[in-house]
Amino acid sequence: MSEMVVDQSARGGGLWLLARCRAAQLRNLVDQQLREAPGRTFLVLVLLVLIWAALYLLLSRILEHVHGWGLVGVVADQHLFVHFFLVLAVMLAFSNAILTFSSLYGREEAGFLLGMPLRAREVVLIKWFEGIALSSWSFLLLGVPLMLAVARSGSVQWYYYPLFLGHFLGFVAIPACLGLLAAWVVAMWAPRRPLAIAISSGCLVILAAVYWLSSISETALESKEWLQVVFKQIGMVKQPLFPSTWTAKGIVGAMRQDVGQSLFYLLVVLGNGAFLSWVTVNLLGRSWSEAYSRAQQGRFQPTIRRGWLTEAVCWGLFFYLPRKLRLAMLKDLRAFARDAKQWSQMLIMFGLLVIYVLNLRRMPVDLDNPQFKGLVAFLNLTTVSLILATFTSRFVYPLLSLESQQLWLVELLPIRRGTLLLVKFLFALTVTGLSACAVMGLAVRMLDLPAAHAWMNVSICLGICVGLSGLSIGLGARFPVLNNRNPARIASGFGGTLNLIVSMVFVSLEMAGVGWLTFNMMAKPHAVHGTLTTGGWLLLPGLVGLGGVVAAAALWMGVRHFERLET
Amino acid sequence: MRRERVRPVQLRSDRRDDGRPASRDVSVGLSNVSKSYGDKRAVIDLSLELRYGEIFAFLGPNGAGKTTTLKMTTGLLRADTGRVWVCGEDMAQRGRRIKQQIAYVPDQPFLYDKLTGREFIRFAWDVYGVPPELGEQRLAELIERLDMEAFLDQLAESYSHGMKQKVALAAAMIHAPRVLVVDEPIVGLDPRTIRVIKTIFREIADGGGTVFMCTHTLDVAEAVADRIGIINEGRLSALGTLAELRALASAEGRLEDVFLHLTDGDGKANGDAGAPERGRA
Repeated sequence: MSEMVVDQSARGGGLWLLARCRAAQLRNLVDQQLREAPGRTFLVLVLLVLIWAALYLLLSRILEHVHGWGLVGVVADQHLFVHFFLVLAVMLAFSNAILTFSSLYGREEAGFLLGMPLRAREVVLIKWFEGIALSSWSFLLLGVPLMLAVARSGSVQWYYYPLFLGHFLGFVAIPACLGLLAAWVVAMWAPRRPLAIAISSGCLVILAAVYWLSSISETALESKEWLQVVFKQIGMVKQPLFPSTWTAKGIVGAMRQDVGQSLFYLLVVLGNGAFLSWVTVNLLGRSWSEAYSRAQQGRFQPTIRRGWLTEAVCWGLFFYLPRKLRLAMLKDLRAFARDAKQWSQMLIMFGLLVIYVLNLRRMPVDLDNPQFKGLVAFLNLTTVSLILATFTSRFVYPLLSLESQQLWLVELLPIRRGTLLLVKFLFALTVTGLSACAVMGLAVRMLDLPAAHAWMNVSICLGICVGLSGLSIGLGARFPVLNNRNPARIASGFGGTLNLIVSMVFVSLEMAGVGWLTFNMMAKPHAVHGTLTTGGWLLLPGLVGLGGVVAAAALWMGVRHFERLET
Repeated sequence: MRRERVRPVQLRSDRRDDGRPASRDVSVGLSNVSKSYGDKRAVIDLSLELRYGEIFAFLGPNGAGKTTTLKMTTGLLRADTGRVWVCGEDMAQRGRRIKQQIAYVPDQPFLYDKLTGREFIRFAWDVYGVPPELGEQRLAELIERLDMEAFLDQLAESYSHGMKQKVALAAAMIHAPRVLVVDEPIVGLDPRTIRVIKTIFREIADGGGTVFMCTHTLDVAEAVADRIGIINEGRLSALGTLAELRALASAEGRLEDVFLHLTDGDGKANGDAGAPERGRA
């Protein structure tokens, strides 16, 4: 018989072993980032600090403004916090649900851990801790700026800070548990299309939020009457049984030096959070094996896809290409359409932009003033361009690297490598161009810009799409990441980071030119009728053409390297 | 010429009323086990016994139910019907206790990307309760035998499939399991390592353990397996030693010929007891 050695004392330490394993992974990750990408790590930290500072300033300004409304402002405090924590709860619950489903009921780590002699409760407890840690990250990024902004806008005592911390951290356990429970429900009873369920639920929540926002935006913003209308509408979320209400009351109590109220609601939140955590860990622990088995069952019932829709879209969009190039395009289009993680992120990014654009008329600025109109138009183009830069860096840059594992197959095709790059460039340009120009077109329509100004915005937007698509494809070919199937990792490497920086510089140059054009148009009275100055007419083709030049240069560099690449 | 009905050859074993193998020599017992994925019946009424001291190779066409059977054996999947016994205990009742004595290596080995191979193996031996001194000793032996020294201290995210396979096998063998369940153990491995793996499997069996492996590499099954089971469309088509399977298929020659004969060469069942006889044109 094989020798079996079992140390009885190790059996009860599964939780400790899992925690130590996680700690080792985190240590190695940090060490790797510092050794291999110190510049990028530093840049990320700097950007995080900047985001943190920007949030703090924004929240300070909002609170100062609200408190300037006297008694109405006092009431607004609690409503603000109720909504802040409600929205935070929804976001954290969603993110925890998606992460938990993958880690507890996915094929890889979950299968590995389930095959080991670990107590199911211990594994679930570790996942619960990870959910809390992830949710606590929101405290650092959102909670601390909010805490400091509140302290700045009013007079608080020393105990406000530990009470705020206690409330926030006690609160985040609840959406973490809700996320775990949602993942469990999906695994047990709807395992076939978990990602589709998550995305559909997310879209429903967003649509509900959009409808509610529209319904309360009937009157002009920034008026006390509007605020009262809003209070009436949003009173329904201030339910006494919602944890967001308890946390909001507790924090407001701490702000107003009512320690008793604050402590009372803190204990309510902690008590309920602890009970929910106990129920969640025990329920998921008891049924982990069953839920995992059901989730695997769902994976083995794949949907049959015929692909006629993507084929029709491809033939329609790329009618101008020869058939064999369209076939190469079809492969990329299908891969994009069938990867929910990609198109959902794009949908969210551009969906939020569309919502913003549709509400342009409700902004608290005088949009009949040409100067304000021009400024808003400039900011719109800047926002769209920056989002495009992020999108192309994340999704377009890895396109060629993802081919690396089947490059031998691609090379057998009767098309040159350079033609393959061109196909990918046209694919990226079509997707980004259609999305961005549609949003810009809607924006200029909502702003009712003069014709010349409108065409300037849209044409420069198109030029930026050309430039960014060319940069991402070209640099993706110049700095390919071979043998890696993870697009996020490919995008976060040296080439991806370089691509992001160069894209930002390109966008900055374009926006500097647009800014000059816009300023000149606003400065001259005849600009109200939408005519560009002479200098503007000279600069405009340059700005549009700059995108073409940047794309051509990047693609040329990429083609040269890619054609010489040995596989 | 009419093809003779091929009946599965079963080794005799006594069973208790609850389906649990009565013989203490049985390390793994599947008793009328079935598993379905929606409308697809992956495993149908499978009964199988493995014994201590043997290497059992489980063969079958793609989608036949091999991996599902292995996963039910290791407790990753729950059978819809029937019972699974491992090391004398019911997997549904004593799963954690059984897992202390077995190990499973899937066809796509899982390693934590941000751990080195050495850290991963140490984590495994900690979970299985192997004392650190013994673990280091065993690890040193496995490093030498599997030639892992060059990459064991690199992060697993940089490993090739073969490297991951070696580390996963080492992590599975570090606690000297009584039953080793492996799915496609030699994919991605070089010939020298394949020879070492075959030797290690033999050593496990000779030491009284059981190796339950799925493989498409018939050469390996032919070389090391004491007994072979062939599953097709969820049912056990044939079971026995290579000589018994040859006799069953009335085919001399290599396992490949026997396998194709028993699975009809195109994946259709040719020997299932419940299937109708087939006539040749």
